[in-house]
Amino acid sequence: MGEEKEGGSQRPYVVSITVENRPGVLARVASLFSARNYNIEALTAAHSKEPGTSMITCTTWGDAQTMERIVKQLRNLVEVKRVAHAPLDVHNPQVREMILVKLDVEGQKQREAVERAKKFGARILRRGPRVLLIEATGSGQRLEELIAALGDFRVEHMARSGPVILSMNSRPKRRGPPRLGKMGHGYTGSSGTVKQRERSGLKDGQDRFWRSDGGGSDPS
Amino acid sequence: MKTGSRILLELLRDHGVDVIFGYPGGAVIQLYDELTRFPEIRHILVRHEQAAAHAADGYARATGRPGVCLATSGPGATNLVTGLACAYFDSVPLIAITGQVATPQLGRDSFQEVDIVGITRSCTKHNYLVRSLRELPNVVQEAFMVATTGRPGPVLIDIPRDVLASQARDASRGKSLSHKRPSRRLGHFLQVRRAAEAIARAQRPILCSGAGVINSGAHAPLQRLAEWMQLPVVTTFLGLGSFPSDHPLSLGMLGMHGTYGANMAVTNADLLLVVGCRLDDRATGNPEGFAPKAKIVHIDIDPSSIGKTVRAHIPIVGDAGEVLKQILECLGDLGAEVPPTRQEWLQRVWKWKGYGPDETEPKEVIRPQQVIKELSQLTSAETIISTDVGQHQMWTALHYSFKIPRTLLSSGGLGAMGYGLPAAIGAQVAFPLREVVCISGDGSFQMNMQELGTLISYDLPLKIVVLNNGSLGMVRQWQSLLFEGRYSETIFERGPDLQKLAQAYGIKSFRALSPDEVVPCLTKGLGEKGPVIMEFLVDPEEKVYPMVLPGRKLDEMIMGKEGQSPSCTKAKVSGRS
Repeated sequence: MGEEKEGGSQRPYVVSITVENRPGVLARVASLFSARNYNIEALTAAHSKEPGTSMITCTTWGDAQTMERIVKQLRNLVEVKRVAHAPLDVHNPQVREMILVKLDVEGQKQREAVERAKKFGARILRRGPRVLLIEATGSGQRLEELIAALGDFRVEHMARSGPVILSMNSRPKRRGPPRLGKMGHGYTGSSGTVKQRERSGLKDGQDRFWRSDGGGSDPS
Repeated sequence: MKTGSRILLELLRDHGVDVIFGYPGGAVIQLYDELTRFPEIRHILVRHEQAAAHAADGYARATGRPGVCLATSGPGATNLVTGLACAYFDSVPLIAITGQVATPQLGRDSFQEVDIVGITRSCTKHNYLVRSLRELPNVVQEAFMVATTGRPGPVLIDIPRDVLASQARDASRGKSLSHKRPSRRLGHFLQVRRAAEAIARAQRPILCSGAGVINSGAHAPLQRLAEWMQLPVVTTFLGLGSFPSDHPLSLGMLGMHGTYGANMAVTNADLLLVVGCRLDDRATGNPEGFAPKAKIVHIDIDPSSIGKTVRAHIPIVGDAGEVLKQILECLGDLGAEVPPTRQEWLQRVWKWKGYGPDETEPKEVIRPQQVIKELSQLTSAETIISTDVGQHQMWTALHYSFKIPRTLLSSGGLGAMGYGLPAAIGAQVAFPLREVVCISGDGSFQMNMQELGTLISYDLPLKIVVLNNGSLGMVRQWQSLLFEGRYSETIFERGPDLQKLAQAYGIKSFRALSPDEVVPCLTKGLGEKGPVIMEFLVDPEEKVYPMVLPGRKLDEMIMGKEGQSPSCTKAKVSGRS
């Protein structure tokens, strides 16, 4: 649908959906995207901290209005408990991905590959005479760089998890560990207003996402 | 010990279900056997499962209570799909129960197995596959809650036959499965105040009333607000009946086939108060040009319906009735008064209201509009009208005078031909003593005319009006206006003789061939005690006007003969008192 694509700039978003862990819930969430002609680029699903619930994280393209619509429609699903979304910002340390890379290298080349991988903080899981299995986590961009750096070697297989995200915003009165803020309010993709930055004790240029207290105010 | 079938029927009875529309089959044979022990639940045996879903839909729209339909696995279940999609679009509370092959056979392509939960995922509000009898009480309870709260909709429960046959001591009801609470009913007070202030300030306000007003029973506060602040009222197609159409402030329906008055008023308004509708593309025309000068206040219980096609300046999530009461209260606090300029606006609006397409010139053949107008004269405000889909549906919307809520049953969003007859059956079952009239066309009528069998089996005194033009009129109209009159596959070379068809079913029938036979035919037909088919041979050249061509703005209506070429977009106005 052409009109879905209008208005505002297209950019990748991460949508994090907490759902009741019932059969078919993943299909329900996925079909909501497909029925409305939205494409899911990456998707992860796993149990979450609360018993009986799962967290589905997916990446999709759209403009701000489209995302607002997806999120509202997701909230209408009976099994969906919470939805949060944020623009996928490669510099956002709350968005992480994992890859496994299997290289077909030996001898001197292998040692070079290990060295290069370690520069990216990767771990060597398996090392055989002709095989090297590397695990790395990081931002999508960082992992792209790693893949590029390993381009000189023979990459036999690669598995990529797709991004997962956890917002650092939490509601002040809620006890327990930080959880996802409400959509759109908690994380704006920028460093927030000057006031917010001052309040959180962050200076310009400083890593703006991690807050040691795990709290911070919810601007909503 | 009780079987799953017994527990299910007890649960339905406890939820106030008194009628089930259904069709038996292998997977539900156990349930049908148990049904013989439940005299308090009436079962209406339809002739096709699609009709069961539509009849339950008609029942629900006429009563406001959830309708229940029942079908077997496989083809029984797939035949329900159109009815479910129809109810989903139009926010009708429906519980659909389907049989399923036994759990050990699931996923093995067993006889009459179909993944109905997968198939209906996108056309139900929610659906369930019941894996064990233990789940059943919670599922049924939750299904009724989901179907009736918030924006209502259909819920499907798929039950394998071994679950229906298995035994348990009792229907123990654990804590509800879902965390979902009923949605917010009261509007946010700040938004309500902003809306009230906007209403008090507005110079050219218009109130747009949708099906949500009917669903929430908000017609009384809506009328109070309109009369107090002197707001002219337009309704959406499904909102017809939410405001009396003979009221001086009523402008009729807006949209593609909306009245001249409604479309002009919306286009020129400086405030549009939208209550309980999602403003779909048929209502707005080109969304870019929809109410371009207006501040839009959008009240809906479903947050995802607000701002879907047209952006809202003041969105209010809440129940239509509650929010309107809040607004009334707030206006009282503000001491709001009707601004002196209002009279000027009303005069302009009333002038527009007086315009319409010129359809009075006498003709040899019956004008379909005439049939609807006469029918409107001959029936009472209490009469329930169901329609099918097409030209006759729009003529009904334009020319029938709906005065009270829940008197129009029609497939608005999905536009499912074949809806009219079964929906009317559902309404007549709910209200055996009220007059129910099904208005149909020869195309739509043939889509579900097997239901005449249901009609006579239960002695339902339904009155059926068929506007017979021997063609698929609405598509034909589009072909005439947009495809240079190439009537590709829209003309029935031969149709059934409806008089003989009626005779075959033992139903009385009347036929009118010329304009002067219209009233006698209607009078005779409506006067009958039992079911009647009234057939009117109407002019196939007649078109529904006004019409906003696709992609055009609401004030670019074509009004009839002069405007038959699409290049003529501005309304040519001809007087009509």
